[in-house]
Amino acid sequence: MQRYPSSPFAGLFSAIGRIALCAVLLTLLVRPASADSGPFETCPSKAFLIQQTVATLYGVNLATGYYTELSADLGTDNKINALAFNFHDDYLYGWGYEFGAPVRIDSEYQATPLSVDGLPATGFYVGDIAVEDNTYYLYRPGSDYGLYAIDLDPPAGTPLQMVRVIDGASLNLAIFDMAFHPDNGFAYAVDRGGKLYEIDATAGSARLISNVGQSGTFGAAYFDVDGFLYISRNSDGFVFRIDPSQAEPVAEFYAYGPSSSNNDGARCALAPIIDESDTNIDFGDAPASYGTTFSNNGARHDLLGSTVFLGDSVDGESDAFLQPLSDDEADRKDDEDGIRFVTGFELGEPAIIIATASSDAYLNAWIDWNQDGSFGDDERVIAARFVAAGDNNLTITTPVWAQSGATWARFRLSSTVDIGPTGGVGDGEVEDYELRVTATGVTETIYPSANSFSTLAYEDNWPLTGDYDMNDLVVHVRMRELVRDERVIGVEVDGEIVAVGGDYHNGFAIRLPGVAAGTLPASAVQYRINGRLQSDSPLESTQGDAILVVAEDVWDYVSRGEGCRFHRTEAGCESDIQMDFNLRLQFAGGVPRASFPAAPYDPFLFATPGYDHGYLFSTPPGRSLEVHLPGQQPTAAFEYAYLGLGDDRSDEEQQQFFRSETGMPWALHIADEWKYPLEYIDITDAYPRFQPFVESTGETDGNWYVKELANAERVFGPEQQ
Amino acid sequence: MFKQITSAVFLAVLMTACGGGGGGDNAGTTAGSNGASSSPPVATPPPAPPPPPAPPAPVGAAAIEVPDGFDFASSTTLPITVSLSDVAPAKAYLTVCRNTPTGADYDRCLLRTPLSGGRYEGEVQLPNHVDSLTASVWSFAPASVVQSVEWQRSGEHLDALYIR
Repeated sequence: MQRYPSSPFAGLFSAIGRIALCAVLLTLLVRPASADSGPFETCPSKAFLIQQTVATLYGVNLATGYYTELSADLGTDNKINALAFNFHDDYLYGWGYEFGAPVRIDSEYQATPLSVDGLPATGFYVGDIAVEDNTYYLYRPGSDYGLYAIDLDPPAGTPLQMVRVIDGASLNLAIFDMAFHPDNGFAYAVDRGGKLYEIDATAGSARLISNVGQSGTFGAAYFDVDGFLYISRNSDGFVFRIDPSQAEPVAEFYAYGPSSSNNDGARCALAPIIDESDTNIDFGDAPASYGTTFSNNGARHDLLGSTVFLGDSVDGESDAFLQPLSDDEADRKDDEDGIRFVTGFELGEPAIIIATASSDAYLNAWIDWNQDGSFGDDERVIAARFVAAGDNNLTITTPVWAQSGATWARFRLSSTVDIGPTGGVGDGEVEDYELRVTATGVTETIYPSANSFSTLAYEDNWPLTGDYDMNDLVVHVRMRELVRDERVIGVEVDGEIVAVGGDYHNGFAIRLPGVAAGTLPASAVQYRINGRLQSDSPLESTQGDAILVVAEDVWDYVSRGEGCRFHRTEAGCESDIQMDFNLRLQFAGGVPRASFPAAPYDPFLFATPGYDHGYLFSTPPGRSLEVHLPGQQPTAAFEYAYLGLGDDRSDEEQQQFFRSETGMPWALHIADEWKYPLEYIDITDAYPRFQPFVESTGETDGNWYVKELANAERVFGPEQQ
Repeated sequence: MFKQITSAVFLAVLMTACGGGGGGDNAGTTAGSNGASSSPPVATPPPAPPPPPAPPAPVGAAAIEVPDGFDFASSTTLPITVSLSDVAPAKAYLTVCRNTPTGADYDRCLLRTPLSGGRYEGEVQLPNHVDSLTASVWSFAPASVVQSVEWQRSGEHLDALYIR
């Protein structure tokens, strides 16, 4: 909410122009009791709420329920009700009980009574100003009262006049506020029993539309520019959203707002509910079906003034970044850090999590046990649980009826005690996580560890030696294995194409040595690229070892940066990673753990069919050219006649493949997120401890690859000089 | 003319060295097939291949003499043994995780497993740069650590991680 300058002179001068343009006649009719500080900003998106027996004005973000006090001194010693925002002059209006007359409230929150003829001797708590004709309508039930109208833009020289449209016996509504629709001319109100009425204020009639399913005193009603009606219940502050254009409109819970026994609200009906530039709201990032985006009333928390969050930090967005994007992918800042999953989730068994809270607050959480894409009432796993600042060990029991496999969880921390899986809250944070439910007795091993990667680095010039910058293809991988009764029942591989530093077109695949392709029917494999499930199976064939093709041509998924020859290998070419992948394999019956290959299995590069691959090959070698890690063998698709060409000195008898005369390989596996050398930089220049590591057969310098031992100017990354 | 020839040779050396080859984005005139059976059985001399440049004296990685059979491994196998049948509750769970300066990092675990009668035997692949781990045995009610052991790499030698 924008505040105008506190200086009355500055406010006066700034207001003069607008008043002259917008409301000359009206200004002349207002009793000049005090200097007018001018209108509010044009059609603000925030709502106004007025409460207390001595009027206090609040600014409310209806999207989250977050509110701030704007003023406790409106220049009156009594209450103001029937609050209305006038789109025609950008002032607030209300019924001032001290004056027994309407008041106009300026941008400095000062109420000035209006001189109006024909005022009835009573007060009004229901009112709004029509969007179409600049008329202030006020209503009070009872045969002595009814619906009144004040034309705020009368002909020149004519005083303001309050005229009864219809008596309160003929139009008998148990309502506490009403709001005008932004474009259809009707006002709408919900009575204490939940009945939604469409009011024709000009004709003085009302039509019952539906019962919205919520009852109570709805002391504040608002519209937004999209035609949604918002009503606020006095007793608990709950804000509900209603779409009156539906055949049977119902009230959908929307946000937790302030509660009060005396409550009236107003906003500009032509404003969106939030500014697009407002990034002070935290959203989740689960798929949309869980209620995540703003448009589907997603879980959201206001960050303004909030000190309540999960983990070390929280950041805001203007709307949710849905999985697979997530706001952390979007800004590379991980604020989903408040929940740690200590144990797995096994059917019928307890699981332990650690929830880290910034301050004392309340935690609510849901897990989609039946994997139907929503959080049901019976999927609430933590209900209004007090958590203290710091780490909190909590137990969640997986129901026996849960579905095995991947699903989503939502955790919401707030000072509001009891909240649902969607809707807005005035403080706190929402964190969504994808987790996996398994059968009982499952051991999970993760290489190199959860939330980290190892690196595969290739030279693609085989069988010629290259420049040993080891960045022609760089891939991050993480392997997660599920073992039960000494048999591997599932594997998940997460990875990302980190760099492509060569012109050749190459593919990337992973073989599971010793694991027959027949153990993996297509239905047992799920493959996602950038979060999207792929319809084509990555399985290469049904014969021999299982081979999973991650990409037939990595250049199909990454692009050169502007002014760059390659993808993320040159200084100044630090574009985002553009391809990540996820492979999920299920082995029906399992594979004996003793015969399962060790991570990272056998990841290899191959030539993309149809593309040249150097002068040694008169025709594109395609899938028959492979480059494997030291100690791995080519696949059955490899052309063994290539061995010994160029600089290759593979020794088939010794089962040593892809080695040069000096024993150097064309591929390395490094158990860390390796900062690989810049383009054309030899690995020994970038990592001085690599040579002693190799020459000592790994007896020394085992950690040669850590960034602390790198020549920072010779490796790729934002820290290079 | 001499200058042009020099430039061409230099370019050829550069492109060979950087792994760029000559393929660029152009598909070959004869598309290769996706299998060994129809791939060229052996590379035949190209019609007019440019002669490979004379190899310079090896420097950098090319100069390294790799010991026979060295596998360049950057991780090793660390056996994990838990034997707490007298201490662990009926239902207990083991986590083996990396450490932060302040303790176990449960966001970066290498192993998570229920214990069977307080026992477990297995292994993890341990990256060479990871110098310490925390193994914790958890009970569920209340959710708490029953026993915790911090493993430290001793010199350059790995042994095993025991909780007894």
